[in-house]
Amino acid sequence: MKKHLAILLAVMMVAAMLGACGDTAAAPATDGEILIGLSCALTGNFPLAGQRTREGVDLALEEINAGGGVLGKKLVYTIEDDQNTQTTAVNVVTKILTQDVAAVIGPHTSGNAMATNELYKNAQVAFLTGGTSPKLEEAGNPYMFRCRPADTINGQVAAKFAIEKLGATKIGISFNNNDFGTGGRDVIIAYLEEAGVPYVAVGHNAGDKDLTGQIMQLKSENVDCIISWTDDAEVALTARQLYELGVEVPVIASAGVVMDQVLNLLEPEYVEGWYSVTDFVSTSNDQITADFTKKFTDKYGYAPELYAATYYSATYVLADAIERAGSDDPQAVRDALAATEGLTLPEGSYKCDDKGNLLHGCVIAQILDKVPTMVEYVDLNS
Amino acid sequence: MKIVKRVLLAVLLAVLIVFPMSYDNAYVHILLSQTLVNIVIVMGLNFITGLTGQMNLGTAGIMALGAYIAALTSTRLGTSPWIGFLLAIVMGVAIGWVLGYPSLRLKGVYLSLTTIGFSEIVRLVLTNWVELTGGTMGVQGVPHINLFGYVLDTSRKVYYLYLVVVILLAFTAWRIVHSKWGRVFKAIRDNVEAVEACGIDIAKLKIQAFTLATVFGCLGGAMYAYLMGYINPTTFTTDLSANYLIMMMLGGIGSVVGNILGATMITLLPEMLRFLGTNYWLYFSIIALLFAIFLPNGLVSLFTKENRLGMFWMAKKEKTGGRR
Repeated sequence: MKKHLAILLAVMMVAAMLGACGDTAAAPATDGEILIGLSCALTGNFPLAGQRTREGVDLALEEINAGGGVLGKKLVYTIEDDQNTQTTAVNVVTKILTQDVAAVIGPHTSGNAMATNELYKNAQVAFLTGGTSPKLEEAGNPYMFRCRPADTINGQVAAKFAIEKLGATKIGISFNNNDFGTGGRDVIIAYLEEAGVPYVAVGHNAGDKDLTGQIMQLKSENVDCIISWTDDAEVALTARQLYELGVEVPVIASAGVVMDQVLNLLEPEYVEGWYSVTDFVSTSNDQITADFTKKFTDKYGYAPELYAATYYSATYVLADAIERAGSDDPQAVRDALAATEGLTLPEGSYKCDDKGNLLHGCVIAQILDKVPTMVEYVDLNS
Repeated sequence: MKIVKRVLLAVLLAVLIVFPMSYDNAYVHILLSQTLVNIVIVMGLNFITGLTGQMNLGTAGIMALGAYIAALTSTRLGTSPWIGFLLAIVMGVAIGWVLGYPSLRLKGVYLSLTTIGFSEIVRLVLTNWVELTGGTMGVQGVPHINLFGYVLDTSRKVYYLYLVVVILLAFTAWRIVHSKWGRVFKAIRDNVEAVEACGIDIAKLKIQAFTLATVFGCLGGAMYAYLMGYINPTTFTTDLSANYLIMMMLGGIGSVVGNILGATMITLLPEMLRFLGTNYWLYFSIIALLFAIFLPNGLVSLFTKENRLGMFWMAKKEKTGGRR
């Protein structure tokens, strides 16, 4: 009977192999290839992120290789699923690093970037992560590069936009009392104090169901612009109650408000004319973004979002670095990444600073009839 | 028979020692070390859920507290990891008594409920008490274990230490299962009234079983922290608790050997199936399900006489008139 079980399992394995033949990712490095690693969440609590990541990278590699590859060699990747959990991220990064990779893209979140930080440092291989927590800088890892604007940048851009473009003279800040919200508040306040603009900051807690008190306070202080720095559920509540209580000043919100999961909770009039600071909007009329959106939509049948744009751009950043390094030696690639400058891609213009931050600007979008529309790209470097 | 068993055990041990030495691949080493950590936690869970039959769904919370107390004392106070291990054990005893005392005096599903609640509270506190725990960014830079001046800085070195720990703990667990204690635990699971009628204090024994589980759980947590060098609260979700239950059930409920087999299989199989591409998790689930159906007594029943696998093929034989 053990034999039967063994046969059963063997049959299943063969069936599994046949089933999987359609999507084997990439062969390991051969003479004419340069191998990079990709760790993203293809299963787990957020598989869509991993799938878009992969689609973005696939499209970029297709274009790069169609144009002659990098250093005359084909750029290929080895992809592993990190399930967006710490343990699996550590495992797959260890696995990727046992292969001959020039550099790695991922894992995506700040927590998993932190978990795998030591591995990359010890292996002396550079990695590009989508983690945005300012605390990643504290790790002081010369092999860590961030391919999305840090949370601190979004806050500064919001404050700058409020003062310079909206002409605000007194700003109300509505923030969530968690890590993200207070982090954003501190950055905004620092910017406003330097600019000498008065402000009122009122906090709420995650899970609050009523913000009437906070909103009435902002109204009675006669603020002429509100910056809302909070999570998905709370920004939806803020939008509804600001509308119901008749507050008609312009609002700038953190990135959550342009996500479909938030917009679906709202009536169009609640957020009509709102501004948001975010990484990427596909409706931009900027030539580079428009081209990318068109190519992506042609290939996959839907418009790209944040993950696709981020990692499509990251692949180009990496290809550029390998080209400039003149070899696929990980140390040379790291040094080239650190010298990245003047590269403009759908996600923004890349210039590496001494802390490994590649992007220093983000997009201001305006919501018109529930569609986030590009207003401008604000770069803090310029 | 006994000699055969001993020889097999010696061969297995030799393989476990020689294999990581000869096979130089960090990925394999870290997986094997994780397997050892999981074995410790599953052996603990076996005492309360496997033997005593009280559903504990708070393994993640128990493990988290063990991991955090070890990681925090080592990073904030700079004490040796050995003190971290010791504190994790103390923490285990404390959880066992503080949580076990009120919840195990009740009957029915209350232990499941209180342990789920406990686990979630632990996770939320660890997430939100940013000053102490570092919030969602976790505890970074957990130091390596120092063994009399020899620093265990790779997962291969950690593996050998953990292998010794697991062998000692497995022997302890095996002795407990086959002692008077173990028999009373099983009796509580099978017929609680009869045990009570014998004049045995059931609540006290349940608390003892639970304390064993929490001590093993916290120790496993500390081992995890020192292995990974970084922990954050998002690891310790209810999913993780369920995963440990699956390890125990697939391996063989109540058996130490079963725990070891279950933990090994559930930890290593998904990684071995990675060559299947995007669908590997589906195949893993199918295989796990087949094991649950065909081996209801767990993997361990492949090696014992209580194997019920045969009945599926027996029935077929009768249908064909016994011609086979």
